[in-house]
Amino acid sequence: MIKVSQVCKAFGPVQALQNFDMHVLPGSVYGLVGPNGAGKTTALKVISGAMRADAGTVSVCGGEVYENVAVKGRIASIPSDLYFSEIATVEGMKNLYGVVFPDFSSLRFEELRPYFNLETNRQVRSLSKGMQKQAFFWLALSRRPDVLLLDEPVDGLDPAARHTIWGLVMDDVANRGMTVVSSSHNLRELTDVCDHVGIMDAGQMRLERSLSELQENFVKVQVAFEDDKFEAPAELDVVNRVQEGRLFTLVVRASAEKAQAILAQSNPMFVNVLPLSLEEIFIYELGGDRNEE
Amino acid sequence: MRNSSYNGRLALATVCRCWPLWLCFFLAWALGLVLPLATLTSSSSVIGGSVNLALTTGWDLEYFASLVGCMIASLVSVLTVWEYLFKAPAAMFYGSAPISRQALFAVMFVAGLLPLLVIELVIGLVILWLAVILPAVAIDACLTWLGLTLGFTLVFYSIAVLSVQFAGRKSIATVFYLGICTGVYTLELIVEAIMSSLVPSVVFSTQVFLWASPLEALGVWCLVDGPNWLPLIVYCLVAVVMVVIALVLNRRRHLEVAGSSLALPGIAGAFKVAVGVLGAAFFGMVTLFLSLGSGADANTGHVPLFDALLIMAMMVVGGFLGVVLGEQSLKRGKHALRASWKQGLAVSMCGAVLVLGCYFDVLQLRTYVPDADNVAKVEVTSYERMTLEDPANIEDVIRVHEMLIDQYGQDMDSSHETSDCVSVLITYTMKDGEEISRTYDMFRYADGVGNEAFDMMEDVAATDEGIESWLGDSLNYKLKGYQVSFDYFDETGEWYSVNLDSREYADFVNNALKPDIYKHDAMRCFLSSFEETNDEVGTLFFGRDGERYLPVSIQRCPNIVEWFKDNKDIDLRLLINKYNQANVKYAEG
Repeated sequence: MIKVSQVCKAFGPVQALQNFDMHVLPGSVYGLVGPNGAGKTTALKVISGAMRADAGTVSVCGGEVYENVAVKGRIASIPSDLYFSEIATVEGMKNLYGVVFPDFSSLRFEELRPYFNLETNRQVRSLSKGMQKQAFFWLALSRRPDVLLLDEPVDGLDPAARHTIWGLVMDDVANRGMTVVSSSHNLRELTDVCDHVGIMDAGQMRLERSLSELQENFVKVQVAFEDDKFEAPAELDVVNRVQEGRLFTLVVRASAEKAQAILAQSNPMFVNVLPLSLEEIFIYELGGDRNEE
Repeated sequence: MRNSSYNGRLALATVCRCWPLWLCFFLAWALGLVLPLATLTSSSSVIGGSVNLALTTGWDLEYFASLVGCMIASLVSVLTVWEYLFKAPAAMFYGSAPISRQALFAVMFVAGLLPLLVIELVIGLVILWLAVILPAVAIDACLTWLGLTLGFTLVFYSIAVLSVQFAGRKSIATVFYLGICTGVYTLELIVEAIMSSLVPSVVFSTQVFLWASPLEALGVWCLVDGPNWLPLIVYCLVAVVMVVIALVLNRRRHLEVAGSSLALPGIAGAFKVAVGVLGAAFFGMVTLFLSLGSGADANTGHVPLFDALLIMAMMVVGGFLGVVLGEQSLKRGKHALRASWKQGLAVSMCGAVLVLGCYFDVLQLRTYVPDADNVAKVEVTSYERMTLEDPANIEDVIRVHEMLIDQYGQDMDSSHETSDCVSVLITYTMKDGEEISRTYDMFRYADGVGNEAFDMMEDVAATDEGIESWLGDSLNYKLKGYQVSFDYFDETGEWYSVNLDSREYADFVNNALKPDIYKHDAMRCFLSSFEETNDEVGTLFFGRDGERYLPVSIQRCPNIVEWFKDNKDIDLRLLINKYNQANVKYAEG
């Protein structure tokens, strides 16, 4: 659905994206994660067609996105900085969306009204940040887009609103096959909704996997030996190592079975495999330090 | 998908979004033009004279107000409607919307221009309706206002659209706009004023770059000498080209520059230098204006060295500060000085070179005297204005010019008492069309020494060409509180009647009498000066071919006819009506 290939984007001396690749399957919910300044927002803006890449290609729904009216008409984007005019009300923004986006459905807007506790005749600027975000979700979902790009989508939303919004989004994913790309620092929440994850850093994609595949191939192993001297086998890709006496805690890039099999060769006293959260995978993947005590 | 081309609904939505702006624009014209016209009646005339003539003066003000008003309104409209160029969230919104860049450009262009034109058309229709129902309002003046206003709006709106393509902030866009509208010629005027102060006697009034400043150009070429449509049409055509260029720049522009200072790479250097040059000019002009320099010594023509150095220092400082300020406006930070000191120094040095070059007359402008063979005509303005084309007279003027140059180089001591002084402006029109002007103070000394220039000028003025020249032009005068009507016959017996509003400064000889005044052997008449001092309000010179002129003073009394009774051979009948008094007519006996 979305294919980003070797995209570069610079802002003066700052290289925001450098040979950036990204692949999003149709109907998937893709979590784009990375540290501050990794280039997530820039990547989303390039995918939405708002920014022109300096190099590379960005293909959405089978077509180049930049200056492609047909393709952009199928994409809805909710950025972190929301746009509304000074005197616009929610109703006014609805009218603007109706004018700008041909696929905007007033009927769908009314269908979604019960889910959003907002007064449409209030000026958008007088709404709280969370309510503004809700309003723009309301408008974006009323378009029934094929691709939904979300930059820090639930930032400022209360838990109930988050639950409602993610519910609506997932309904569209399930019923219409909508593709969602969401960037967020709330990795625990992304774990609940995403089926694919891309971890980017310094303008490049470091890791791009399905969530299940990622969790299956990244494990934490606790292993104990009779003495406190242990060197991990070379075939075991150890990302992180912590030693407490004879107990070693290893984070390895391997499946649980493979890790156990390799460690068994060293005759451990016991081996315990623990699953990793997305947050831990993110930290260890981007940290990359092999700490030894 | 319909948004691949122009989106009329978006244009309409944008127009509606900016409704307070259109309301203000409408009210400005309603209060500034419609209301004054609607309340004007034919019976009252607070400014004296006939209503039509009063309105003529008022309409000139309205035309100039239209020029400035359209300039301001166009900028405000563009800055409001084209907000997506200045606000990052708006830029990203429209950038990700299913509308092409050229379609978006067209939408915003129409949304910002159409309301202005519609409001002007509505106002124009209203004042035309007033012209129909009120005899005091001239229809042609209303039509002229409408045509000028629509044209001015087209021109300035296009300039504004082009200006905003260069900038990502409204303040920077405004700087570009003002620079395009008026910067170049204003800079030329300032530099010429500074140079004129440093090079006494040289008149810098080239208007070389007047064409590059639409505000001044339209004001001078379209309005000063009466509404002139050709320059406006030309500028409208240029405006079309500007719009095309703006579209090209808009398509190349990265939307993410919204909020940044400059939208296009590569123009930062030119921007900083331009700000530096303006800074130097501004500081120099302020120094000049504050009269910290007393100007040239009247006798020697020398500018005090201190004054010249002061102007130079201020220009150096202004130029340097301007460049640093330009850098600071582009990249707000603490390193503006470090990043721009070289360019600042270069601009400052240019200012210093200009000042020193003028002060020391490096180009020898002050002492330049053209070759008589290359001069087509020369215009000398002192008490009167003479235009001389006779090669002999031209050579005499050149000799006078050389004497004045020599005179300026001398330092006459205090014993050399002056009995008279007159400013002389000499303008050569060369055969290739170039104009060269010099101005001097010409002295007549009590002891007669050093009066060669004065005497020679009088000799030139006494030639036939000199007399005819300054005779015809000498009827520039200003009357206060009087209305003057001239009725006269020419040699064929044709009756001419000229009415002159006392409130106007009118060269009626050049417009009405001059073509005929040399043809017939009736009288030549001119009014040399008009001052309301005591009882004498002016002097009429009457005479005929081959004769000298009899000065006749005009006094503010009904008995003026007595003056004419003594000159029975005068065909010109002069009617002088004092305001609110009965007409006094003289009938030839």
